[in-house]
Amino acid sequence: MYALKKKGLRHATKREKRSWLFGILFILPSVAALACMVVYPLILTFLYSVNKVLLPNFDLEFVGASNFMKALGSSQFPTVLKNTLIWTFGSLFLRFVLGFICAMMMETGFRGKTVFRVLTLLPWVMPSIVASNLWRWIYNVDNGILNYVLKQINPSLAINWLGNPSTALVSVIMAYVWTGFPYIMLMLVAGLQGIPKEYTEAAQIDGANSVQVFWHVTLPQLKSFIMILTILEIISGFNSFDLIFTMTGGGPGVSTEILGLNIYRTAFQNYDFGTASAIGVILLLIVLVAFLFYAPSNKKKQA
Amino acid sequence: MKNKWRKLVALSLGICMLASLSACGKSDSEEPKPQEAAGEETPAEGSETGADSKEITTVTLWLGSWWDGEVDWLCKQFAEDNPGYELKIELQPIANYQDNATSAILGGQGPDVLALDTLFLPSMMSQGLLLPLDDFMAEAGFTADMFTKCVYDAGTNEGKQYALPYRFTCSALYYNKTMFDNAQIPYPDGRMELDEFYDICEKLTTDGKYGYGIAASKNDLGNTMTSFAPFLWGAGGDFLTEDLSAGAMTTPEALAGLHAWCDLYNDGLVPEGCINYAITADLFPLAMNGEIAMLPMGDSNIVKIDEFAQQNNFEWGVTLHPGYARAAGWSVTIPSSCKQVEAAEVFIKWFLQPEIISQNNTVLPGVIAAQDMGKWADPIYDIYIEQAEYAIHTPNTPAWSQIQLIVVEELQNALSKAATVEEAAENMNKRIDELLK
Repeated sequence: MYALKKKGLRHATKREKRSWLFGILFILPSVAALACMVVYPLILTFLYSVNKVLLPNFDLEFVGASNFMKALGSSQFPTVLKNTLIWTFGSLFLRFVLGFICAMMMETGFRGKTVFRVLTLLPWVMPSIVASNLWRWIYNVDNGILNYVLKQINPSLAINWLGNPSTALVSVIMAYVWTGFPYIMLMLVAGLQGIPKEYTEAAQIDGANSVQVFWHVTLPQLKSFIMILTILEIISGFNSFDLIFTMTGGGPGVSTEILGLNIYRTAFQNYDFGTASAIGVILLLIVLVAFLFYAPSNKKKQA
Repeated sequence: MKNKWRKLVALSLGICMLASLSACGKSDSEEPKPQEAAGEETPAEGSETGADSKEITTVTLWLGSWWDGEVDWLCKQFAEDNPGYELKIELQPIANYQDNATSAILGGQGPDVLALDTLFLPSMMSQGLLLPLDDFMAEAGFTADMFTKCVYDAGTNEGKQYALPYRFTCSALYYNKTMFDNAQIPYPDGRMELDEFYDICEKLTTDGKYGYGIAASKNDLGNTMTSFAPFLWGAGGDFLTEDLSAGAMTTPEALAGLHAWCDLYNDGLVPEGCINYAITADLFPLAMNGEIAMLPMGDSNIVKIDEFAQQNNFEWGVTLHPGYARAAGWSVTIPSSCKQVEAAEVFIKWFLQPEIISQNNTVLPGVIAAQDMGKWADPIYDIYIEQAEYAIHTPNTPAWSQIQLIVVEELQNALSKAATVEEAAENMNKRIDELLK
């Protein structure tokens, strides 16, 4: 294929052309599947975002940018966007910190490592509806375990975690971090196992301490893993919905409302598919920015 | 030779993959005809009736998951009473019920008969997701006065009837007699004034026990309305102006209602977590544990509390709720995606007969004649029939789902002190007016 690309299809031999055709034939099902499942909904989303969608037949009435104006002009949009960014990048940072700590612990041999591994994987295998209800009970101000423990230490430490606008977002982020860090940990463990022992040994012989080994050897070796994980986590963060919906419903007020939840409400509770699509397009543009950061660095690495 | 075989196998695999992909989607011409879609047992058009040819028409019905115990007898009796038909009940959890129903209808996969909470009706009727039932009603002999009025009215849009109530519910005031005895307070009897109610809550609140419980959860808006609306209406206020064209949350009466409800929270007479609580999921267990003395409670929960009280040695009573309770109910509807309208009508006509609907042990019937038949003749339910006189349905406007979200968000702001009650009321009105403009 590479030779054909270099030579051009016109100058290719019959055998090379046939091989190229076979290649095309093999990727055709995947292309068709992608077109059905990704491209078509994407086109529809763009189409709906500039139209008023009339139910039940999804008739369209062109309205130009009015859906975008409606979405952006809402008095709550700045707060919702701010919440989404805090939610996404805050949880990304904390998941990485927790994931790194656990991955490094996995790499050091200690007794009870297997039990530790199973325990750290539990949050990830738990269905999100169970996890969100579990955390809702933990945070319960009247009978929750967290406040019970805090009251034993000092009664003034017990607060209304989910009912106070200043603590609600941080509380749901902690629950979200807990449900997702094992995935980061697993990926980083895989990355760590791929780093040749000689590298760290050579650095240690040269007198590098643990922090220097981590900073100058381990971290650069994990760069590609970190890049991929960052992109996936950003996408997952922006698309979040179920955990917040169950724990706070976006409240109190709009203190935990994020774009994913906003899209759901606009589409399925207000039946305004046009504005919901416009918010979706805005969300897509924000996620694309993350890709723009990723793509050049990846290209540079490949070169 | 070996290479040739490899290519041949690869080619056949590729074709298989393509074929399986193309099988995933069907063109319009391949779509089953309406009657075929119901199952191969459905009689074809122009053939003998289902009964004569022994072919069966399957009517699909969506009900809430709490109807679990009623499925067997409903299916059996429907088939017995209606030869040629059978009933297939698909139970749905209440979480995302409306969204699931909407998605199913828009995708052309909705049931033949769809049970809907009256709260869901305004937006679904206005979006053309339900079929009008006026002709069917005339043919079947159903009239408006056969149903509990406030629930029946919730199914009316622009003069057309889209929903027929099979369930009526409203909350009466449950109280824990033992807690009243301990506080040496006489039991409540009849509708209290809001001030009197506040005083009683104050007396009952001691040592981690609370006089009352309010629900202000944002993920169960209906529950929050059940909790808040009695105070708003009780003080003489309302959500919207009479012609439903603007918000009415800043009138002195509405402000008094808002204060009456918010003061209970801000003065610590209800649990602190109420800002994020729903009635059934959070407050009901607290009431069962004797941590809450009074709670708005519907007919279905009263039976459960009775069982629990007997096991845990406390006594309880139920009386009229202060103010006006939020009238609610569930109705049967025919979604616009229904492919067997005639069969759906056969089911509705059968289901709403007083003799049939009164046999259910799950919900208080919305058919008036059935309300004193069977289990529902038990005096325990009398209070709910009495409460119906002091029950109001939330405004019947297509924008209601958005309005109640606005109200709940601002209520939470007032409870969490992110805004004063007056600021919250101003914001509600401003946002409602913008929405209705």
